[in-house]
Amino acid sequence: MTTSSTSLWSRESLLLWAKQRGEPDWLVQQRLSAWNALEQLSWPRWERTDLPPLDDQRLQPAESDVAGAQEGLRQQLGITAEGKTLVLPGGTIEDRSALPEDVLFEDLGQAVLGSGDHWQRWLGALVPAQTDRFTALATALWQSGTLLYVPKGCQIDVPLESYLWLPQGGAWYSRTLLMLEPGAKVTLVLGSAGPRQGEVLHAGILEGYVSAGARLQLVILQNNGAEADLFLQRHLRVARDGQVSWVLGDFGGGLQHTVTATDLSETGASMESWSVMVVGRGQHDDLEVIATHDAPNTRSEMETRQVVTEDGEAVYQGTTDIHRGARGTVAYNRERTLLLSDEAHADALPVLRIDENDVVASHAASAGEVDPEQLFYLESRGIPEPLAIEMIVAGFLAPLLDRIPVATVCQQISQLVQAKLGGSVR
Amino acid sequence: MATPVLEIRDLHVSIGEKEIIQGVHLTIRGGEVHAIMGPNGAGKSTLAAALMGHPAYTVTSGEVLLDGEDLLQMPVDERARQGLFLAMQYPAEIPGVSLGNFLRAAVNARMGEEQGLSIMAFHRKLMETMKSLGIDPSFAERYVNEGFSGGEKKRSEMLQMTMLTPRIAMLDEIDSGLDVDALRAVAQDINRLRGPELGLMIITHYERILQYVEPDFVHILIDGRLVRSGGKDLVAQIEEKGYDWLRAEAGLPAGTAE
Ligand SMILES: Nc1ncnc2c1ncn2[C@@H]1O[C@H](COP(=O)(O)OP(=O)(O)OP(=O)(O)O)[C@@H](O)[C@H]1O
Ligand SMILES: [Mg+2]
Repeated sequence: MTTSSTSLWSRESLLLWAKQRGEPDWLVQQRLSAWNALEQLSWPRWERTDLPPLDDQRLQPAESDVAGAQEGLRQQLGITAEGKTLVLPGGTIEDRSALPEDVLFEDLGQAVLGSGDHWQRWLGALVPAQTDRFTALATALWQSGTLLYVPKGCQIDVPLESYLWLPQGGAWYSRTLLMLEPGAKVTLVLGSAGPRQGEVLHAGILEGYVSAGARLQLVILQNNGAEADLFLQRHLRVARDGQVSWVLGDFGGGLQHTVTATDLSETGASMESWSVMVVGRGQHDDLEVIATHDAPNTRSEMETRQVVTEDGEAVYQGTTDIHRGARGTVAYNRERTLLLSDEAHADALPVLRIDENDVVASHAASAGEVDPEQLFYLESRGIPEPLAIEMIVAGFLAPLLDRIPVATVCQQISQLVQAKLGGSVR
Repeated sequence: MATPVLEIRDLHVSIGEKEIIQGVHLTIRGGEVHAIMGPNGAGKSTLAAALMGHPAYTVTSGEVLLDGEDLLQMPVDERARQGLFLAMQYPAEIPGVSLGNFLRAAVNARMGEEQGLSIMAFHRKLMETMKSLGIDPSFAERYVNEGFSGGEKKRSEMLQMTMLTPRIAMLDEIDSGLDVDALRAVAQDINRLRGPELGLMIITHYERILQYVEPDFVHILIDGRLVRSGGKDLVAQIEEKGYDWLRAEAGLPAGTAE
């Protein structure tokens, strides 16, 4: 990207920038109509997350320090960026050789160039630009993002990884598209991090289509700096007998609101979602996970475990929406919170909306502090308090981590938990 | 290292407003076994837990020295690292933390950073110890005390004690809930650990364990005071006559504590 960032901040410069990139007309039009919609759209209003006033300065697209990305990602997410890894921005991919030829795994910004109207109908179908101002901004101004296309029947055994390194200030807009053709199978790790310092805003859209019988394991890890405000919309649609497994690991960031939605749109589709949130000093993390049952014999299982330290604020809303006709639905929705300080704050709201009789559904939420008897027991064996608390937290998360299907990701999450608590418990 | 010694002088312990321990004097030296008996609610567990530093109990006055150092100034973990051990009457369950990982952290803490064992060395020692105590190796993978039977919890406390080589160990009803064979096994484990490097406080309601682990001293705790100390013949007397005669002797009202 050679265009200077501030020049994007008008309809004309946006048009110019998109044309210079060589984007197809439909995409330029999509950007412009989203830009036009901005005027009519208001900022989203969330029940438990207050949005501070955002001036144009904070919303200006900025450029990221591509050179520092590798080292930063290593430090903050513990990744080695070796193997089948895409690092954004920049879109370098290493070791592509091992991927089957017709798999597409690259920067969406590059992929849309010269591919006609191939991707047109998929962009914005699940997360329309008009959803709110953030989605309109992201639709108009997205700079890069991951494209993953897995053709019919193609099963990829090694996890693919894509990492995003945010700029130090200003805003970053991303757009991710995932498509699994029937019977495809893949594990994708999406990580994001950024400089420890610097006020930055990230608005992003992820859309994904999981076709009949396809299986997607989607791991999303986030460990941004404390002044990174994140507003993300993720939406997957799952077709007949398709399976989605979300793993969400949220560690960094400042103010955040994330929607993670899955439509179980055809018979036999299923989703599971395992989320770990560790929320600490100065953070407000609001995560919404939604499973929508729109067809018979669909299944959803969501479990979230939050650990809240210092003056952190964690909000979780798990919504199970069972539409009429979704007979034979099975849905579980669980949430547990561990508060590590008196100032810590957590809100958990499992929501069950059922418009069908023939279903099995349950939800449960609980919150508590570290059990003093457990702490005493560990300390009475010589274990110092900070380590004892770390062990209790690890124990609290263990049943959830045990269910994460990718072993390396379990380890990565454990280490992120440790690193984060190591800083705040001591 | 010198023989361990725990000196308790005029200890008073309260829970909230209520004084439970009302002036206990007791000295335990390496090589000695002290049995503490007394009716339900007398304050036996309170005494042991307060010595370990349980936050629910407040020491209102008195002095406790471990090897001449002020025990009451030390945080709980420090007391343990200095060699104090408490096998609890009701050990806590710690979901998600395996007994093996827990013990490794404990052993490393007790031995100090430099002398900590490598994973391999620790694992070998753990397996050997489990074998010698007749504990199935699968317990190393299980979450601490979670789903353990009453007897298994007690065996796990013994395993921890053996691994941590304390200088002064307090065993709070280590014999309760054990079947006859398990009781004999636990007694054997204790006897194996006996020696000049270890001072023992055994809290119990039953004569049986004291037949296997012969005490040097027997103390009777009633209403927060040690009303009588003697030799092991005291155990037989209690077994036969109960506690009321001791209450009468001490000028305390008869019957059980509230
Ligand atoms: N955490 C606590 N909160 C309130 N009261 C307590 C607490 N712990 C102990 N007590 C009270 O203190 C008294 C002494 O209890 P303790 O457990 O020390 O008795 P004990 O001699 O060990 O009895 P037992 O033989 O039944 O184990 C009892 O009246 C008990 O109810
Ligand atoms: Mg007791």
